[in-house]
Amino acid sequence: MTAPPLTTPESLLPPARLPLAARLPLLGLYPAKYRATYGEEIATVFAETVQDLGPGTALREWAALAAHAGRLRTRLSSADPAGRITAGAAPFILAGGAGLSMVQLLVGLILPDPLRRIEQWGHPAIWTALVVAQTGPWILALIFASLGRWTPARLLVLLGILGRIGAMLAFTTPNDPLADVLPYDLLLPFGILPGTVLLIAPADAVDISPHGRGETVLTALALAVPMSVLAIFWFRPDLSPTIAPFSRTEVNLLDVTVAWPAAVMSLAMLLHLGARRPDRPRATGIALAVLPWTAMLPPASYYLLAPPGLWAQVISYFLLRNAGVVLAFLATATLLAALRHALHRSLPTDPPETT
Amino acid sequence: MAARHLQEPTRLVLTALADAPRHGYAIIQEVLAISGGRTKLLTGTLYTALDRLLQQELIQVDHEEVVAGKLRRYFALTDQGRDVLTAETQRLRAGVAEAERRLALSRLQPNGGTA
Repeated sequence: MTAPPLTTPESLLPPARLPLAARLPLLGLYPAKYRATYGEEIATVFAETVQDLGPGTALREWAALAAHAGRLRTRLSSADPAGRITAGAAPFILAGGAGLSMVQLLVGLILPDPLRRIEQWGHPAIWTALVVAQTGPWILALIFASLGRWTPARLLVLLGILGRIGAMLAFTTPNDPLADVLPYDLLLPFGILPGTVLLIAPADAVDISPHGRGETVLTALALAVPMSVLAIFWFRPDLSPTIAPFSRTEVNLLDVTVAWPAAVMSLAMLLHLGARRPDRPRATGIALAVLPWTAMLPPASYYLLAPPGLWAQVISYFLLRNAGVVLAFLATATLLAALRHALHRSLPTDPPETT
Repeated sequence: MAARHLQEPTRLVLTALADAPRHGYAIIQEVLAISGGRTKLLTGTLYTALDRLLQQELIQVDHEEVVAGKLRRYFALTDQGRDVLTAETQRLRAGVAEAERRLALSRLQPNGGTA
């Protein structure tokens, strides 16, 4: 079979009615194998579709096909395993990002500021704007997703990522003791890497059924509520370096809080992987969504107890420990799911009824 | 494949293929008609859905033909696709029936009041 031409064949369109979009490169964007199989057909359908359309709508048609070609090239379509895995991860990254944003909104705007960082900003309105810019879009995205509106949810996530980067640049001042910790925020579920996974997930494979939406909201609340409760009760009015060290109970509680999100998400993964008909790409996606919690460091004031200059070592310790915790939860969930399936297989099945 | 509700474009594509095999452009036209003009599938959206439905074995390529110099590839439902569409139809019917029952009940009550 000869490869079709790389643009829409003009023979398929009367030249006088050829919209601009039809003259843009299109078939060349597709992988060669797919183009050889479907290129001519897609060119035909595209030509028929755009011949009576206005330039704007025709361009939209072209953009949708270009996006389709891009997904096929990157193997991120809903028909590819990588696409289905990112689609499985996306709702849980959203749940994690929104849940954590709820906690940060509470800590940043409602609870008193133990480190008195607001005072550095002169006007509280600037602080408020920065906190809202990085947390608000994620919470709104969760609300849109809960209503089944994935496209606006995705746009809000993009806004949230940009807001977080902007706020981080604004928050980081020279000699800021928190400057060492802030970059790790970008690895958390509301950061650049997980957010990008959410953005590139094929929308048509994301579970926006009522059950899927309920699961996303429930996961976000399961993260946000206990962490908010701890943030409220853990609040210390004075966190200057001269204060007494944290009690053992406080330290343990903080350690548990760091592990809590990974535990919640691993439970979600177990429910999917251990289901009677497991959706393995989705379960793998949830595992992918658990990984960013490795960067879940304890609150910055925790480090003030470490001697100056040792923060990098303290952070490395937490990252390694978190990686161990996250992998342990994932391994446990996988093992439990495998055990459940082994148990199910070993149970005798009822003989078929005879009439 | 885990049982999940179908997204609207997917359901409409399966519905368009329920009575006869159709080619890409005909599916777009059929979906427009089925949805009462509300859903106009973009070509990219259609082929995204077709790729996925082929991969899930809910549809298959029925035959190809060249009409007026244009290649037409006809897609048809598989048995599995028919089962999935049937299950989805029953789910939707149950929802509609329940809505109609409740609406009828509210009409029977004076002033459409609640119990």
